[in-house]
Amino acid sequence: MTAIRSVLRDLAPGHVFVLPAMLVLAVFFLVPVFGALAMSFTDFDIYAMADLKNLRFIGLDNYINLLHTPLFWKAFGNTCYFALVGAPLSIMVSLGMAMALNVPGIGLKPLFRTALFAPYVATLVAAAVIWRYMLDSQYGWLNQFLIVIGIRPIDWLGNPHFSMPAIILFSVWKNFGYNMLILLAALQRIPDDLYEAARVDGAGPWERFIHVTLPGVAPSLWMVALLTVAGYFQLFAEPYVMTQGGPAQSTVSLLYFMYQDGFKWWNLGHASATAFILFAVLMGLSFLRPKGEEVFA
Amino acid sequence: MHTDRRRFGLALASLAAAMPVACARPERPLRIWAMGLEGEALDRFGRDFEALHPDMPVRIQALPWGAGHEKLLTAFAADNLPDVVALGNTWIAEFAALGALQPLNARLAQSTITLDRYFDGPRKAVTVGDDILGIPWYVDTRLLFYRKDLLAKAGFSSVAKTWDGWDQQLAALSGARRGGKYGLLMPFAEYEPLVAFCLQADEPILMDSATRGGFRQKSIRDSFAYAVSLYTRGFANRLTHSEVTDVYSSFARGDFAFIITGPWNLAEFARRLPADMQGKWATAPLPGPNGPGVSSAGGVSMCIPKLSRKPDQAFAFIQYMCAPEQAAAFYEQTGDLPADRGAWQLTNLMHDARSLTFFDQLNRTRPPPQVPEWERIANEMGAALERVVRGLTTLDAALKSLDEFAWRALAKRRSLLEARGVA
Repeated sequence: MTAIRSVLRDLAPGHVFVLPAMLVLAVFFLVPVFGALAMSFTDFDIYAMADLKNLRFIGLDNYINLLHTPLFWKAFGNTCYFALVGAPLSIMVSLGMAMALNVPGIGLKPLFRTALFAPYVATLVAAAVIWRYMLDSQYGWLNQFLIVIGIRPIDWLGNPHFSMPAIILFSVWKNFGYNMLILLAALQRIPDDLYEAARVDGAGPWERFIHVTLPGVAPSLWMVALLTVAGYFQLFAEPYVMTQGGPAQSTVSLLYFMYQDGFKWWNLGHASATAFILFAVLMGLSFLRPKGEEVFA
Repeated sequence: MHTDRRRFGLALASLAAAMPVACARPERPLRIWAMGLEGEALDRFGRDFEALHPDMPVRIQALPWGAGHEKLLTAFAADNLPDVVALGNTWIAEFAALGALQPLNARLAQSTITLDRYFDGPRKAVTVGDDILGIPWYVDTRLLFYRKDLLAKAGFSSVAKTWDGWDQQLAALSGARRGGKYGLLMPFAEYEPLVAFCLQADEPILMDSATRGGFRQKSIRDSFAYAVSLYTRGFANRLTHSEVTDVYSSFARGDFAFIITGPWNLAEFARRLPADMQGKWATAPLPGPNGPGVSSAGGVSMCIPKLSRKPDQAFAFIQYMCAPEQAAAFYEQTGDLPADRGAWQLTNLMHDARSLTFFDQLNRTRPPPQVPEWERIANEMGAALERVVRGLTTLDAALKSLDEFAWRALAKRRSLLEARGVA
């Protein structure tokens, strides 16, 4: 009785205010997550769905099994390829575009800004379908263009070596706009005197970029990199719409693998284990930080 | 603030008013799910059925093929399957394992349906153990559609019945002599032709009560190697599915002379090929290792889920749809081949050489292994074929990993059967 009373006494109005949010979070996030964690230690599949007596607790077997599944490693490799090539490329394009927009004295800036941001707000599935037409090996204009400039046409979505580059190209186009806006804001915060001082000291454009621009945007750049890599690890809709994981499973991502495993073949235990491995990778990534704290402004 | 509160009150009131209306709805109609175009075509038959049975309103819902399987499993998990469901024959084993379907043996015995008149393949596909879990509605198998004129130009009067003979024809129709074109269209994403070749083998694809893969058995290996050789010898282009933009115009252009496909294309070829092409195409049975080969027995059957609250009415509807007259009318509308041989007599199917080939092939079919895991294994077979053809692995390594894949995929089935003392 006294314990309850002391708890009630410690209850601040703030606690009451966060309570609804916490409840919603618990019901729609924490409970399912723990449910999925529990499920990843069972062999929940269609047999278990027919009769719960067929459900067995199998400990870490799903995880061990996954490590012996070639397609899992293939999907893991594909996802890393996509994230480690696509994310830096995407950030470079964003930074380049942001710097171009930041050049003083360019007219129609709002127009360019809107145009460059437009792909980000376009519907992903619609854009992916259009890109599939553009990348078509026979009729797509990208190949027609290659023919015009004298390069052999590439079977973008039908050749296992080019399918992932094609998807990276699409994703970079689709996503650079968002990071561009963040980096543009960061660029505009860099005082002009720094550039002037550098110029007086005889720094060329490249030195100014390395010694003034980069340190100036570093905090934003780090956050952008983290969010982009984490986002790119969750590759799903692009291969789902454009290639269905093919050709030769060259675009099966971890999430796509999990989706097929779980919702096409109904191996929910196995698929939950995949989800938690992806979760662990993303958690590990988010702990990566630059050594010097001062980088975070 | 005032208006907000008033609006909220209004919403509550309207909700309260709607409740009795919702509860007092007239009798719940018979719910029927079918896939794809067939689902849409079924509408007309539903109305005819209602006219005959005013006391049995029906509501037909068409599901897209692509999302059908997921939707059915989700509905099962939510105890929300309809009263009649048209299931692809390869899915029946899965829903049988779920215990989702009612055996129809007793109803069938008292019905007007003569199952003996049906083709063997689909009849076996709906029979799991002793239970008949569905009535075959329309059937499907894969065979050759080909260009007669191209074959004649290469000096052949008819399609070969054996692999060896067909190889010679494909060799004549592929490569340099036809300006680098291919004899056969066989995209990797469709595993059915590969499965059909493997069903032609003397040994079963899955062994020991279908608890493990048999991919390294000699005859299965031969079938697989044959499928691989169709690409490596340059008879078929290495295509995944997505790049084949328009099969019909490509067939009319002569990009390929043969395609392994199913009965729906009888109508599609007739509709989509240009008029001057209509006399130039025909169908032929799938060649086998020695003589005319078997093909896969596919199709769709009508089943009644266990939880259906109106099994009597559901069966009445199935009996209506599967009667020869309706099956024939359904063929006229959709081009789907009836499972009942009796219905064939009521149509022009027996007078057309192209569909007669199907009649012939349908008498020579085998159902693919009837386990819930089959589709997953078949998918992996297609992927393995693609890896071997693209040189990412060797045939024997691929077959070994297929066996390993099947071993893992069938682990649960194995242990359940062991527990029941079957295997």
